[in-house]
Amino acid sequence: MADEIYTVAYDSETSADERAKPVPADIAIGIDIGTSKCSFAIWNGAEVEVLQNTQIQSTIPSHVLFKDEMPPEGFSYEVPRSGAEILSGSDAFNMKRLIGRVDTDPVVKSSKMLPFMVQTFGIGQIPLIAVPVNNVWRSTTPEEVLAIFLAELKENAEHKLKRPIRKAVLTVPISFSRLQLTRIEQACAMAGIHVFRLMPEPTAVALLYAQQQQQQIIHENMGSGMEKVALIFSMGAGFCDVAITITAGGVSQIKALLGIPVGGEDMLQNIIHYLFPDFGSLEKMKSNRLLRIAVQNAIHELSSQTSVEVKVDLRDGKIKSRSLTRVEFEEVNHKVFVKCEKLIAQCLLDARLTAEDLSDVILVGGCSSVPKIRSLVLSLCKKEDSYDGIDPLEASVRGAATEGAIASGASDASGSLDLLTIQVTTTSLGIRVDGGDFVPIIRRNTSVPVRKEMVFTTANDDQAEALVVVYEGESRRAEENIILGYFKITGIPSGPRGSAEVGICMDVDTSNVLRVYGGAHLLRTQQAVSPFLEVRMPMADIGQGWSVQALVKIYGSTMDLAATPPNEVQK
Amino acid sequence: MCSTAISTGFPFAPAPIRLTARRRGAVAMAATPAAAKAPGNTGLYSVLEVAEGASMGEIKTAYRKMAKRWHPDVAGDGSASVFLQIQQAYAVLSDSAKRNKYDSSMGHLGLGFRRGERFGRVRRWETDQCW
Repeated sequence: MADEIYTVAYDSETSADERAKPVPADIAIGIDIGTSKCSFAIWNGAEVEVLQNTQIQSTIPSHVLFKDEMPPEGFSYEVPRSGAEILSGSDAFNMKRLIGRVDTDPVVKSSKMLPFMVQTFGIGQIPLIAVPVNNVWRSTTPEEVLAIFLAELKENAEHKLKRPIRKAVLTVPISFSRLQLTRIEQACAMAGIHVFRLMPEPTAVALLYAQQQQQQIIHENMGSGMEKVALIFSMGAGFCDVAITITAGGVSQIKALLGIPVGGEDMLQNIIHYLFPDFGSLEKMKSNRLLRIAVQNAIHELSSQTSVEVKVDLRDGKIKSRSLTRVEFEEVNHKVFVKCEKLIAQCLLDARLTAEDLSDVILVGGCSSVPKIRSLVLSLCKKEDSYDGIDPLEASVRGAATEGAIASGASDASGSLDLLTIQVTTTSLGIRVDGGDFVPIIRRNTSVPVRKEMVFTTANDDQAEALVVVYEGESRRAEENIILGYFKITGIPSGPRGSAEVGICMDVDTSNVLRVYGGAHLLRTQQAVSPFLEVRMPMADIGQGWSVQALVKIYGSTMDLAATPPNEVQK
Repeated sequence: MCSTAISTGFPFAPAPIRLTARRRGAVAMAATPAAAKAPGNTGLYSVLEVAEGASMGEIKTAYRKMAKRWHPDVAGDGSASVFLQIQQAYAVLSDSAKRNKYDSSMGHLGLGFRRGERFGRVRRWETDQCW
């Protein structure tokens, strides 16, 4: 999301010119990096085309294989071509679940069941991830694995399109923190891709929906004032996201977004645990991989049949066999379904809507084929059936490619790119005050761009400096939220506590870049007493919890801010 | 584009909103919305270019129309402050409670701007925005 000036060669609005416009040569591609599968697509001048890899697959497993042969320059790696290669034992995957997380994160803890090494100390630092290469555990990072993967995708796309790819729109889970988004950008930078925009996955789907509604209106010559409210439920291997969008006249207004890191992977792990409780040690990694794949296939089969036989040849003379019914599957994963239900109910509440307000329910992602998921979403939304105009597995990437075309300045004679998405913030953004409280300045689900300001005051007499610690999250305790950065405001005029106004302003632009401004001014004068600071966030990185604890311990009380209005303290 | 006449709030230097430059060229630069043209006339209705008695449907349609013209994704650099005004006007006028409060305050003061409660949960757009 670095700033980049894109020169648009045409400035006129006339439709004749519109038709003559060529497809800009540098259209951003859309990339959907899934926890288990990946895909990429591009606007080809008339429509979105989902690109296929060299094996003519439109989705590619999100695995990176570390090879045993050692080339002179070090280790080699590649994206595996087949299931057999995935079984060879030296691959890293599920990196989207691990990226930007510290070792105290429950998602990292649950990743210990994966057939590679995830070493943790539980101290709020990044985990060590390693795969066996030449009988040695070789360490890697989620960013590196993603970068290798993205580089491969990029090369594939360049080969197909016969031109270099520079820019991309990527879809990301709603629950990603700004620190995680930064890590995704870093992985893209390593792969030589400029991130044009990171889009929450269901909002990419919302864009497609707005496009289809718009086309239908043009087709049927209906008025453009008709509002359609859609709930988008997106669940893949790693994440479950819900969005509610109001669409009319090609404008998709996102009303509410909510997501959790729960997905097919959790269901898979629950079932593995249930069927084979002794599963899970690194020594038996190869057999664990075999079990994993067998159980995964069994779960897929349960989407169309009510019971299945899980048979695994562990290739060491042992054959494990268990039967699994759909009823068992649903019982074992009861908690996952409850979480999904809560997510939908909360999202409706956040949007201040009820099931009756919904025109359509759109289910996308790999888990949308799980019968229980379908039935729970439809029953909560009081719908007989889901919207069928969108391919559940390609929706995200198609939406990303559409946004890529729009943002790159492409236009289309039929008006199919005459669209706009008004995004909202996914978390509340605020600062620490009054000895540890979190005060949100920009709340969750606020339309962007947005700029909000709030006035604070000094907590101590003759306080010359104030510490501003910026967090994102929903907890009222600052320490329970995610730290994005900190700075201090200096030159506060001396006086009793509450005699100075400290203004903090937060600004989120349409590229989701957060800037925080802060400074002091004399009470009721509007006269700035020191230069205002502008800090782009996040400036902190993951694993900095300790340094912030130290910062707060040393300066927290003497440089604290108070949320009380300045004039009230004075009374 | 953001008039100081309506900024009763903050002494911040106007922060340039940087944007990745966008599509459809400099369409928005060709015209300026009513609110920006006449700094004194900051009524929320004129920001959305609707009549004071406009129905909710008319307000929504007007908002979408303005968004398609002024959203930074469409209009590019420089339109962010205009769009923020549109956004704030819509936030008040699309909420019947906030709209009623705004309407009565308009009648009361006769002007579209006043110093709002700086610490209230419901913040006035005039003090909140636009500097």
